[in-house]
Amino acid sequence: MKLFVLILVTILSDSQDINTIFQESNEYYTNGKYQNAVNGYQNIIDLGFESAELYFNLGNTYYKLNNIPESNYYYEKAKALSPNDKDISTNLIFAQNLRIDKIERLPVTQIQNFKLIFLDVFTERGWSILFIIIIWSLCSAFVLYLLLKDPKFKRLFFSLSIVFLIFSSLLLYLNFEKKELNNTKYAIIYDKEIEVWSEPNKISELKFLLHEGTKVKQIDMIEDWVSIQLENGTLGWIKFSGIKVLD
Amino acid sequence: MVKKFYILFLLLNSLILSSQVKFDASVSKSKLGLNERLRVDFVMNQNGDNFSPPNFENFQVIGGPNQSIKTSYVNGERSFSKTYSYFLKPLKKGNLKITQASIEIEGEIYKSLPLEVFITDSVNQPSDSVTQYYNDDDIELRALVSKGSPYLNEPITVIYKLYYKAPINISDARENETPNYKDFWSQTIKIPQLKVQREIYRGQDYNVVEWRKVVLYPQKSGELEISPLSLNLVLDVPTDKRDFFGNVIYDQTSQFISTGMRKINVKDLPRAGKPDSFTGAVGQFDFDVILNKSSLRATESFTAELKVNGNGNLKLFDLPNILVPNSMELFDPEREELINTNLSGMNGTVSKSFTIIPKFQGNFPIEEVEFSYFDPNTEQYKVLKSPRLTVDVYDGPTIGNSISNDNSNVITSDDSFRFIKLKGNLKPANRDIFFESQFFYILASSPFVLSLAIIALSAYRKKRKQSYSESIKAEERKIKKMLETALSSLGDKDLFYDIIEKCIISSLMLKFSVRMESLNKEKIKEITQEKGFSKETISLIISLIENCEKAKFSKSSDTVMNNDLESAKEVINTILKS
Repeated sequence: MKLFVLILVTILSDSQDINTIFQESNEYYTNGKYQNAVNGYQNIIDLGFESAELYFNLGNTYYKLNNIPESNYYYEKAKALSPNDKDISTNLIFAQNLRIDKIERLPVTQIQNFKLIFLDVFTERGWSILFIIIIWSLCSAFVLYLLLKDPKFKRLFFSLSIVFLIFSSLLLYLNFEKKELNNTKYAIIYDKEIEVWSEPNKISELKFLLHEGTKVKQIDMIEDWVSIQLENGTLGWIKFSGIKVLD
Repeated sequence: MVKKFYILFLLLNSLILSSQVKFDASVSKSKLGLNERLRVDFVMNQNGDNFSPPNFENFQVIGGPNQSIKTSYVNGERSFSKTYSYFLKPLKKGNLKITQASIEIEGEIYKSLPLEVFITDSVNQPSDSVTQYYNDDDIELRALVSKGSPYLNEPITVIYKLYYKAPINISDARENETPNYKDFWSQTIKIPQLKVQREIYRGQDYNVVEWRKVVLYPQKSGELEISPLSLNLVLDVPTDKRDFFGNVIYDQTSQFISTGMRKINVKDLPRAGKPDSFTGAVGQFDFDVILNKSSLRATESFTAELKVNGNGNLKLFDLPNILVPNSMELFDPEREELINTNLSGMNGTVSKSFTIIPKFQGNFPIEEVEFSYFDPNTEQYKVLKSPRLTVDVYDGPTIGNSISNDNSNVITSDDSFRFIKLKGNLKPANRDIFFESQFFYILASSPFVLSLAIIALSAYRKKRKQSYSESIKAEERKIKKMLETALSSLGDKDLFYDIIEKCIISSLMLKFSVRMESLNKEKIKEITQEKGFSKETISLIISLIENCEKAKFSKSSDTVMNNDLESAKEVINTILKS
């Protein structure tokens, strides 16, 4: 009990601290002292706290400092935590406009596109909670159908439980899809210029060059080489040291 | 008469003054090849007669005797010389003697000293010219190279100089063979007018003409050759002949003259420390990137100019390219050169201008551009970086590029860069995934378990209830059977009432779960009232029980018994149905 109180107190005092740091950093930002603001925000991250807002502000600060890879990185992190925030997606586009590489995205079918947007409605946790709520509703509706004797109610709850059953299987599928989506790791290129090779060695063919800030999909890894896929579908191998993985 | 004496006196006077008589013999060369020619001069300082030449044994007289007389007055002093010249061709090798010549001056006979000439083997290039009054050393064409072992792309100069010495004059010169500078980038520096200058070369005065100046940039490492320059010269050479007025007559002769092959050892640039951005610039440079606008509307254009300024192989390297964000359109660059080439090499400015059109609004950084060159003086590579520049683009759409995950790529133009969020909502970072976690499984499976439990419980309860009602029904059937037996025992009064009483009590016991011991009239009244029986039924039950008790002590008729049976049936039915 004593220990628990101690932990609670430290957490509370910590959260007091980080909130003041956050406010201070915001002030630095408004006064144009971007480097100070970056230090403050990074400090909060080092203390083990996060939020979409924190990453968004950090992205903004790096954008003002003309740091292309960092701003892209933190906007992507913010977007992962809060997929529907309009501010984040707007500023992410600003940061993406700074990148040097122009990569045409592969055409996505309407259904795929719709699925992606739909999956972004909730976070991974949100989808799981929704699934659990639906499961509970399904069970209670079914139990009510079994227990109630009035045929009118019986019919109502039976149809309700059928509806919930369909919903729950759909949600289970969406949960797996979301998990798949979250498991695909993306990375931001931090090197000013990075060589993309056709194999994980430097004897193979040099395919092309990528520049800082570009987002790539990480597929595989061997030693210090990472196999990547660009948004236009091109595959290649790059040195791990040149990228930072979004996790 | 007096006049004659005066003249005589003058003549005598002059004779006395120039009484020292000289008569010398000289040769143009004391050593010559068998196929060369020799000139012999016999010079006297007073006029004489009866010149008898030597007999020139072992020589063939080709020309002569040529007679020339020079008279000059210096400070009122008269000097005189008379020369007899012979051109001889030796017929034999070895030490040849030219014997004495004699002359009679003023009645006296003077003799020259005998001379010795050494005749060697034939020389390679005998001058065809009959009148070679000059040595081969007197004229030379030289190629002066500023540096024998330059670095690749380091400028070297080659100056072609024509050296010649009096008495030769050059009346015309034509280039016979122009050097070709293979593996070099070359530029000839124009010489507007050939000028003769004096220069001391090999300790002697020479006339020097700079014929040609070239700046070379070696384009290959290793030993490179510069092919020779050859000139065809027309020389004016003085002869012994004199014209009517006593001026020396010059003879024209042509001569072919050439520089040799020159070899230059070009060093490769050092590999160590070669920067990635090196594109072959060698020299000393400044580098800058200039934007003509730093803030503009979207779809307007601006130019970025990369400028390299300095000395070096400006024409021979490519300028670095500029990298711009993908949302800007970059057009092909224009290269502009403003270069002077002089002896020290090229100097000036090379610039590359890119026209860039930003399509979307935002604050765009232009990547720093790196330019590196090799400085041959310090023998080191140097890297120059342009400052990081930014371009502010306003008043334009912020269309996301095609990579964005957002399906709505187009954002309305009033969407500007968003300000930071003021509320933190900070939470401890939690990377645990809820889906498929233990807690998730518990939460997801618990409703099934719970509903199963509920269903099982209700089923159990239902079953229990069913078995209970079945036992009651059996009892009821038993009671009804008993009533049937009561009908058959109408004659036996005691037994009849006994059965009826039993039936009523057991049906009450069945329905109201009361014990037999505690059953009396008061109790029955209480229970039935509680169960909401009508008063008639209650009084009927009570009267029936009373009748049963009474019948044990008194006689009763069959009709009464039948009546009682009917009412008992009715009462039991109402009890069992309740």
